[in-house]
Amino acid sequence: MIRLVLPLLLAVAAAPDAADAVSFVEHRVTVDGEIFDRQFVDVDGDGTLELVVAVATRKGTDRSRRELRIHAFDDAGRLQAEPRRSIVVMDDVTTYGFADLRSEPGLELFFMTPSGVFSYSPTRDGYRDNIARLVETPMFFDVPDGGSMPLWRYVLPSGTPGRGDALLIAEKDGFGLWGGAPDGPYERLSHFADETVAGALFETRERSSMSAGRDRMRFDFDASGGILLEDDEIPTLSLLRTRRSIRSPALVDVDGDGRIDMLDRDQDGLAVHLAQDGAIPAEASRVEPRPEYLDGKIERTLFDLDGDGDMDMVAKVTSGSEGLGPALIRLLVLINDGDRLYPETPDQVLRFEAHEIRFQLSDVDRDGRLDLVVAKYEMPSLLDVATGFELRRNQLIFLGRGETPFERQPSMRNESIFDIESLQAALVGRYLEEDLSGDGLADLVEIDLDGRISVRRLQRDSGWFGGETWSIDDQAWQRFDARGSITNLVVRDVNADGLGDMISHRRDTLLLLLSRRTDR
Amino acid sequence: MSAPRPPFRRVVAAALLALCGAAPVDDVGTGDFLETVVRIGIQDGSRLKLTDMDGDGRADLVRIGINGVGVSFLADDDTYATEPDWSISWPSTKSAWDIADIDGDGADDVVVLDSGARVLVFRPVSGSDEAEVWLADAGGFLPRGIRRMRFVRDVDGDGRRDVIIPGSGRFLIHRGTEGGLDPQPLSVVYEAEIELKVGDPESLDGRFGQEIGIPLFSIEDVDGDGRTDLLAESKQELAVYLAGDTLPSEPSWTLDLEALRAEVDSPESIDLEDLFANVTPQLNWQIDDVDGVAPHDLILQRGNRFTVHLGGTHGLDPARADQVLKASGNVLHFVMRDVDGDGLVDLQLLRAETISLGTVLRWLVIAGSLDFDVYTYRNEGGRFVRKPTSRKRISLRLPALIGLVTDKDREEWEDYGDEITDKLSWPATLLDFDGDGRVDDVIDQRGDELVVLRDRRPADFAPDLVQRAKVEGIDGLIESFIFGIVDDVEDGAAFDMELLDLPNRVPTPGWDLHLLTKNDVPVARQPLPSAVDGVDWLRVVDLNGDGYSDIVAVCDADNWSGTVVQILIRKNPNAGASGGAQGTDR
Repeated sequence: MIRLVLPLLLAVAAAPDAADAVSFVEHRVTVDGEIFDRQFVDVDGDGTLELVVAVATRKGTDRSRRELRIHAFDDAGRLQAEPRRSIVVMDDVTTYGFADLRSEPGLELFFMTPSGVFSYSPTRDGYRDNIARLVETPMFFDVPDGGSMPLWRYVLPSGTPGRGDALLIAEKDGFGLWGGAPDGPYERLSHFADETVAGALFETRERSSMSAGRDRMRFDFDASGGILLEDDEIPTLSLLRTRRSIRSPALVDVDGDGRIDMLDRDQDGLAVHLAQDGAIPAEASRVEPRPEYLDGKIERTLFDLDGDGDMDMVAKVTSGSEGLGPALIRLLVLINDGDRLYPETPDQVLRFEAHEIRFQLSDVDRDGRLDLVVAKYEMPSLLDVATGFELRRNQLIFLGRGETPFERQPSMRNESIFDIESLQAALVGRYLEEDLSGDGLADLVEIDLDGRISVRRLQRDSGWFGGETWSIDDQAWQRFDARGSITNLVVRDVNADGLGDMISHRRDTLLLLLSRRTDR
Repeated sequence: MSAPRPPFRRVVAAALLALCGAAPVDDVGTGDFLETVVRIGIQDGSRLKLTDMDGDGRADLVRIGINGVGVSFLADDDTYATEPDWSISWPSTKSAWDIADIDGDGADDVVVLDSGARVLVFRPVSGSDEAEVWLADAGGFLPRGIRRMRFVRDVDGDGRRDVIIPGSGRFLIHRGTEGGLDPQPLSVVYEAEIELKVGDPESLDGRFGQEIGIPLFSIEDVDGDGRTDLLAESKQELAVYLAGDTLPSEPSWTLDLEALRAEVDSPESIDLEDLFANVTPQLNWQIDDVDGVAPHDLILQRGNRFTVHLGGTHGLDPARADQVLKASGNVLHFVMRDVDGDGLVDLQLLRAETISLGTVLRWLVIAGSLDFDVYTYRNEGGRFVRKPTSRKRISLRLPALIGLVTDKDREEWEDYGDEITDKLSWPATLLDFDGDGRVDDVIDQRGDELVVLRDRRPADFAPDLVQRAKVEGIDGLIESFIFGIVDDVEDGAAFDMELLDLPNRVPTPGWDLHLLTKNDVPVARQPLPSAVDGVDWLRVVDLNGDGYSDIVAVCDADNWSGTVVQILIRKNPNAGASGGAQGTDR
């Protein structure tokens, strides 16, 4: 036995740590303006991602000009500093996105304006003989923002030869699905009206803003006394303040047939629109009323939890507490059986007594099943406040194992206690999603308020007699001098080496920390 | 109008009707008012305005709703007709409207910016409902919707209304001329605040949304030469247009605010040890006459550094200052006020103490105090003294805040809050009921009627905060309520106040009038309209130009079903036998 065990021990001791073969290379992209978005998209369809940086430049007091700059990675996974292409965005564009809209290889850009949608090939220079009208309809977004431009993600991949990707568009009175042959123009395939739009057309109260002094203190309020207009009104500092909104749907594969369906809100229930023949019908295939177990404040997130191709749901239900006490927060796991999203009873219920919980779903142990990662926050009791402040954060991992979606007891509990002096350390963004160290387990990426990034490794130790213990290293495996922003850190594998990378931006600088295996 | 019936006959009539089981006719008053009632359902959303639309010097009733604008002219019998005498429909679903006398003929007009492209003027005084196109290609933009936008204003101070069109990144100001608008606009840069929500295809709780804010420039006499200038501020820059005979087409001078902000060390992350450090302004500036020499001067605050630029309203170099003063700590605000009454403005700073998050949390269970210091730097002949002339403290005493959130005390707090709200919003106000030229009578609500008490204005009557803000602006209120309260405090001493006492410091003139007169016998009564749940607020205005105050009572309809506006025109007692109380209900 000893002869068997000893070599084994030696072998384990001598085995190199996979993390030793991983390093991170810092890349920076600095622009002459302000970065307002960045995306990783396989624009040219070659299987590798490109980096698209959205920039607002300004010269003096001239209006800012928006540009999309496409950067490629070289074969060694290094980001090319000079953009392969820079595209000036027209002033009337409200949003943009990528989709397969033409018969050319790769993806095209689409630009939304107040009057519709235009397609644009990023492989060609300029607008002449390039920009083409795809959709003509009055749009919901009718005022462009010269300093920004959000990404539009409502794209339904075609999957049908001879058809371009369909687009779900927010129109002036609801939203509509548009599609057609590549190279367009598109036609409206279905329309989903929003009844609240008509009622909101006439604004019954104008909002205004006031400012104290000449600085940034500003107050927004309903001006003008309401129903009776008067000539003498409190001086305000806005000509116009207005807001309106309509519901937006989810686009996911509801029935696991490989086609994207639509989930819409129908009063209190869910309207399921199953895709048919390349389109989503305006009539709902079914409406699922809200079940009684979803009572309280609800946040719903969609994932394919059981890997069968259809979307399941995790609903966070908070039952209120009064005053400073903790609330009862439940995570309801609802597995889609192919015919309905809301089962009769939840497939699993996890209960927490806390002031707040945050959760994410990721395959922490890389076994092909999603795991549930929960951060639970408990505020101090009144006694603690008087005698010594303590905030408790518990990081829990419920692995996806066995018959239930997740194990009933967490495999990992990692508790941190913060007092007043260390409270700032609790204010961090935390991501346990990707394997950065190459050891086959996800690692914890943290970014603090100053934008400093560190990585701590998740450890799994197998006991001699079976069982496992999970823990997060106290010490960081990696710390970076470069700073990102807590508001926009993304952790994902962008250079296709199987390891997570970290991307963030601050004002005029985009920071990429790209993984590199030194053993290859 | 029929002759007023003697009270005795009315009593007998009511009694007879009651005996017959019939509901008594609504008594429309003692005969002192002519009533018009306008009922607006909760879904209706209409707005009203009382203003002279036909140039006869009497206020007409304008109703602005989803379908358009209707005007009921004030009739000879001092009531408003049920149906509008004049009306228009909106030209499009992208219409911004304003009610203003754009042509200076003494009658208000309906001015519509249609899709940002055309300025249309509808003139009820002409009797026609056809639009006059005052600008055909305005070059502006508007988001979808029909909304009020106060874009017809006298920008250049020449007494004529001008039109402000929001263009792409620039205001296009068309100045009013004789009989029209100058087709050549003055262009002023602005920075719109736009936020778009683009939903989330993986979320069931997302929304598509659009929020737009267009900040307006300010119009004021910047340099003190008696002419109205224009100040436009964006994140990047302050642009000042100094008026000569007219406003210039380009800024007279600009200030690079971004560069100034960059000079100030600002915290990169939240400082939990000094919470106020996270909210103190990096940049601030004030204009006033410091040295008594034209033009006005400019005081710039960059962090804790104050620089005085004499004559700075005609342009300045931020690097060159006539005086530099440094403060320490968290300076939240500063003002220029003549504190010592010598005719020269002094400099006053409001500084907050250093407060940590730990201290704030301890306030949950232990009473404490939050202190602010007011430092005054006396102006001596155009220069501020280097060291503060006085330092006074405002000390806000805080109870254990947990008392505000425990179940037991919450009901008490809610009751207290309701009580404060009632006092702040009590609808009693002053009017000239008896036509003696003095606004010294009181109108108040008692039960389901309005009552008038004569000559009851207290000597120390002061307007409420809203009325003061209309005159002084928010800056003026801050000066009065924060800096002003320590004027009578000795140097080095503190002005103490309890947090819970703060609401009592807010003027409640309506409530004070109510307490003063609640036991008085009224000289007039007017029942409120049927199906209302009390008066929300009262306005006093002379609608028919006869020198007597008239009343507008805005009431909540029963069961939150809408709003009821009661318009009461005082019958002129000198006008002869003109009949009893008449009313129209619409």
